[in-house]
Amino acid sequence: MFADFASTILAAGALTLLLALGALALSSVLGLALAYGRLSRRRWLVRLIQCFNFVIRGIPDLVLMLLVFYSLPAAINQFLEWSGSGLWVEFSPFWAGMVTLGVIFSAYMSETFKSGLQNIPRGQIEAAEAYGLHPWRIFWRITLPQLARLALPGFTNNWLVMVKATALVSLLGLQDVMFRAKGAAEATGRPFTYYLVAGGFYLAVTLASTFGLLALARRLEQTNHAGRT
Amino acid sequence: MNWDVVIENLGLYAEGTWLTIRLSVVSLATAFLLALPLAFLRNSRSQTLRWSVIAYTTVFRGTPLMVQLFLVYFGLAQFELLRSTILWPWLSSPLFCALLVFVLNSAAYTTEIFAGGLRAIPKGEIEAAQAFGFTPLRAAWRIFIPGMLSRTLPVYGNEMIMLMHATSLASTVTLMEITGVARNITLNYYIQLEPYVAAAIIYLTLSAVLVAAVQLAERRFAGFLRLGR
Amino acid sequence: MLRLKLALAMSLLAAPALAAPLNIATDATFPPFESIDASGKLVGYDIELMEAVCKAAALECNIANAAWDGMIPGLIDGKYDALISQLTVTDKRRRVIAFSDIYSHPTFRFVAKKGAGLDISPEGLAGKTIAVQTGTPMDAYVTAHYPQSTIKRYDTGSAPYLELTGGRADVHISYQAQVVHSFLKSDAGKDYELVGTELTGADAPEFGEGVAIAIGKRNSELVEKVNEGLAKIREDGTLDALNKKYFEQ
Repeated sequence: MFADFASTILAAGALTLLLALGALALSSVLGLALAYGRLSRRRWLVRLIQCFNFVIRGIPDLVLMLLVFYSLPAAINQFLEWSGSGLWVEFSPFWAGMVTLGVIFSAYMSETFKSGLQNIPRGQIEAAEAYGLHPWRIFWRITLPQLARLALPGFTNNWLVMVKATALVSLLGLQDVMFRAKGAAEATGRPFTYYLVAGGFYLAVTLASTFGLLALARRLEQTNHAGRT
Repeated sequence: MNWDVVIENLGLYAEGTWLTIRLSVVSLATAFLLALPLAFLRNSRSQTLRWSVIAYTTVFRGTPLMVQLFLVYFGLAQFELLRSTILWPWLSSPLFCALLVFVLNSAAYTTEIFAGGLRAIPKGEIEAAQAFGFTPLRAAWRIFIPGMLSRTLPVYGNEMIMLMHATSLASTVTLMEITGVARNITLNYYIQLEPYVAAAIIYLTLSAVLVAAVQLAERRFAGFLRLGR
Repeated sequence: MLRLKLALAMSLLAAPALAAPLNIATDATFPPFESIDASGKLVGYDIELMEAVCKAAALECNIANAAWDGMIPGLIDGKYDALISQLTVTDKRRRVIAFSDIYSHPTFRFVAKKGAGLDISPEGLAGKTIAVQTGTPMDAYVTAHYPQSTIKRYDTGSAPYLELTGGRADVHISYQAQVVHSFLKSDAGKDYELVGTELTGADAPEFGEGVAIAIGKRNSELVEKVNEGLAKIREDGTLDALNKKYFEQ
């Protein structure tokens, strides 16, 4: 029986990882956009993003998730009803969790990317512009490689925090590792055993990620030094 | 709109806020005191001591807070042996369990933050202390701790806010802090928007106060680090 | 890019139609009525009942597990089409949601450790700890009648049993059938017994009128169809067979 429950818990690990990776992608893309926005010369944009950051980092992840999963559809549906359109929205726990985590961590990623971007020597960009390189090319060839190296520690940290934050989505009813562990714990009356299994899963993921990203950092350092005479 | 429900229950929200504040302050203070000696041990020359601390911080930083909370609150109650010891009156209280987990969790992060701060103290200061014949304890109290605190204030400030946010998880073990109050209202009045928005507003206010306090402290105590930028 | 955006938008919006499979939610922490077995599958009396009703009424139903927190508000908001979760019909709930015909009349009972000698009157339980699931009729009952006891509320149906066996609660009150068939019969429940008298809606209004399937208020068509389905399974003996299967002593 333990084997059954344990394997069910760990099988949900795929779902947890999928959620985390989706949120990572979303937060990275959004975070990069926000980072550029923070460095822009338009004061209103900078202020707006600062406001956004303040709200996101001022409310607990759990409360934000409850807001997105319960309150947001409720508000939208109330509005749709009032407008008489007969439509309604609903978010699945997976999407609500992924979008919420993606948005929350985009605020943290924007910090990481902003300091990374600020540490790329401005001279390189100016030289590239002088050569007439297209902005996309500049980004791809000059900014991104260096940003990847500079932002890696912060990026790793955000990823680790995000993996752990996925446990909160179980409270929305998503049948992830935490949810299955809770079910097993309550069905068998052995909470310690099954929460230990869940804990083991998360620890394995964070350890693997830490070592993996450390190896990546080392490789990026090598590429950085390569070609230097 | 059902804001009248929120207004009716303002008393509950106030009690919840008070509990959140108590949880945060007690956990923070205790974790701080625990992390100070651990930070020194983390940089100790003894391999055993260093690796013991690393094991502790790795486990507590590598697993979600929710798993830790459930392991302690639900998990430990599984053991009949434990229930007959004198520890039980403590462990049976959700408040004690929550505080224990928050302290252990926060101390793990704080230890790493402080250890990093200690490593960043300029060698010159350490050598000067030795030259003056400071005893290790005096050196720690007069040189290391202030140096570490002023350098880690921004990151530690962030950790303080994270801990305050983490108290929202206490609602999963029957504690009626802000998030618990909000969830209770949604279950009894069948509304989803107003209770969570009210909770979010309260957290935003608390976060704003905390951020302002940290920035004030930064200016006062870590101002010398900003000079010459 | 635009097509992708539209596709994403479309997947979030959907017009309500009885043609699409119905979203039915249940709080699967309540064996033997609804629970998740070791392999992660939804099982239980209510699950089988709902599937039978849907078949009899020619409805396409999709029963899924949901967090208890959001079930009734979700039904009100249209997130779910129906709820099946041993939901008691109470006046308070009738104001915001509609119910099918009642399909069962449960009794409620306290459960405590054998030989605890507890008197379940408000005076008898003064200073004691009562565990209940939040937002249930049992929660409403103890909140209203036991001001001197400590009431602990949990967001699932099975957590209170964990607290009872863990020694954090002195007593728990739930549906008698659930206590008997899922707890007392299990290993964990060996040392526990039912205490006090059987309670029903006749004893306290909080216990409601009986158990039914909850449906969104605007969906009167669905209420009719579900009632048709219920009537059919009553006639052709499916309901009796189900009762025998789960509750044969």
